[in-house]
Amino acid sequence: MSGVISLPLLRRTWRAQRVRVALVCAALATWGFLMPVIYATFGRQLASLLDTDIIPKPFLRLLGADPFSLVGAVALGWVHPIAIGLFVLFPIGLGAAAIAGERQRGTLEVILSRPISRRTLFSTHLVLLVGIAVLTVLAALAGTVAGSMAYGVTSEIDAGALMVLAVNTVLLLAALAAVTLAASASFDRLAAPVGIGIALLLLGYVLEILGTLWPDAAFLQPFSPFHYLRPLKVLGGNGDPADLAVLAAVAAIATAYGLWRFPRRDLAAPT
Amino acid sequence: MEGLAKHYGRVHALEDVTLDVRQGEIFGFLGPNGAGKSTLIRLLLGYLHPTAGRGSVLGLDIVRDSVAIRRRSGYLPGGIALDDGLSGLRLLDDLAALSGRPPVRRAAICEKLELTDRVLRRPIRDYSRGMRQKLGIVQALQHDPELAILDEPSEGLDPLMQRAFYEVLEGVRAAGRTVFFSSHVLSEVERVCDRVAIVRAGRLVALEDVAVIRAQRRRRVELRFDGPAPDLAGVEGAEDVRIDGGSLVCTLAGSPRAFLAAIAGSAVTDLVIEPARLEDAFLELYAGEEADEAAEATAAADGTGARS
Repeated sequence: MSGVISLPLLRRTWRAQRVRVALVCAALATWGFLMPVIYATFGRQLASLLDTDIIPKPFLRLLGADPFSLVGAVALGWVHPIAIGLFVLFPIGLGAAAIAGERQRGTLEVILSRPISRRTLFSTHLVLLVGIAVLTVLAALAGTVAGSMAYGVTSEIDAGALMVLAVNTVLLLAALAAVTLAASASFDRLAAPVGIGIALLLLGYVLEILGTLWPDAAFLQPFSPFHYLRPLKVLGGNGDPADLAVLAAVAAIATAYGLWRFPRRDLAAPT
Repeated sequence: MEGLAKHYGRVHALEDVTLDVRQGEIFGFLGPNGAGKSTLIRLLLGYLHPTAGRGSVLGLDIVRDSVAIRRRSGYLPGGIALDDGLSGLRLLDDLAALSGRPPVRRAAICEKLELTDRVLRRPIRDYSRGMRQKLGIVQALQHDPELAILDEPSEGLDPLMQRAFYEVLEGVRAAGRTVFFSSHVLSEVERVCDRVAIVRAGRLVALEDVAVIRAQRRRRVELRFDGPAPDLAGVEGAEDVRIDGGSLVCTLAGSPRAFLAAIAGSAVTDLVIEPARLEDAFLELYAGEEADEAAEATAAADGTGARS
């Protein structure tokens, strides 16, 4: 019963989240669909603006080297705050609430009175979070492919590169989920893991943007998890395997910490 | 468990608790709020880690074999919180699945506690406090655990449902299961438990059969008589004798046999011996402990180090 994961617990948690997951997947698919549409509709007109120097150079750096190609449009859409917000909803939101939220509500009591070890509980939530990350990324990818097909521009993007981007994104989300879940397993109240998750998100995003706009702050970028998700490079076939390794390492370290910390904690009666 | 202790820094939530619970009994763990009842239960189920001592449940070590213990037990947490978004039935099904054992006793317990199918299909958010508590009892017992650990189980139940719950407990005992029952409601412990442990400020102050504790307590006796007052001097257990005209009042500890023999020759017109209630024994124990502590504090303040 107390194996690596608990299937009844996985089913219970999935059932509670599946409608929300479906809504987020639909939103990401729509968002992914829009990028090729925007490129096919406005891309060539916008590209002509580049020649006029009307767009400041720092913004061009932020957008990437080739913002008005299909690859550029997809890459831009992939790391747009709306897309990032949708992608991290479960890794950070559910990750924070999975243990500390149940603990705060008191509902963890009856779960842990069952023959489930705390490590199993932690692993089950992590597996679900990674599974949801895979679904959301695939939804965004499906939307992008559908949009490209609808507007006949599939030849301008490499399917293999899209899959690498999917793996890269799933690894980023897995790292965020593992960090937030480890925080969730370390506190009795929801506020702390939510704070850590949001701080990680906002600070990481700001550091990455800051380093892009201001070369003097570029040294800060490696401290941001978003630095290791570079869609433009990946879609251009120049992805760095080191990015994947860093994200996998962060996920592994956070998971190891959570699995070590959670079983050692005293869980006093909820107040 | 032997010498089980739980400290939070300087706070000693539980100190040197040694007790055993026999298979097939209903064991009451009694004490006021904050005495350490829930702490002990949480140690037994692996929510807390002991600071000192060791314990075993169903022959399994509470630290090493926590999952195996929970596989064979059922637990009702004090002030249970349930997932409001689910129906009662969904919650029970989920928890049965997590237990890995079929809910063989669910129907019988639900019937006793008047949890109909219609009620169970409603969302838990619509349940009253008492209904939630009933659902908590069902989830703890539905899979017929070898050991049921119930923390303040009758909290929130109306008197009729309390009676129904006691009948459920009788059924559990009849099936040879063991119940560890924490409460601060003395009357229910007295009613359903075979043995009782009394805890105060984290320390065990009594561990006895309920009947023995009752027998040990002082009962108030009122006697009316004609003619000369009976002579109770030297009668075993009789103390605080006060005679006022044709009325005698005293306290009586232990067996009333010697007392009854002493008054046999008197013209007794009325006799009232109050029933021995656990509540009084409990209050006497607490009063005794408090007196001991006060004496210790006084001795310490005097610098004598003497103990009463």
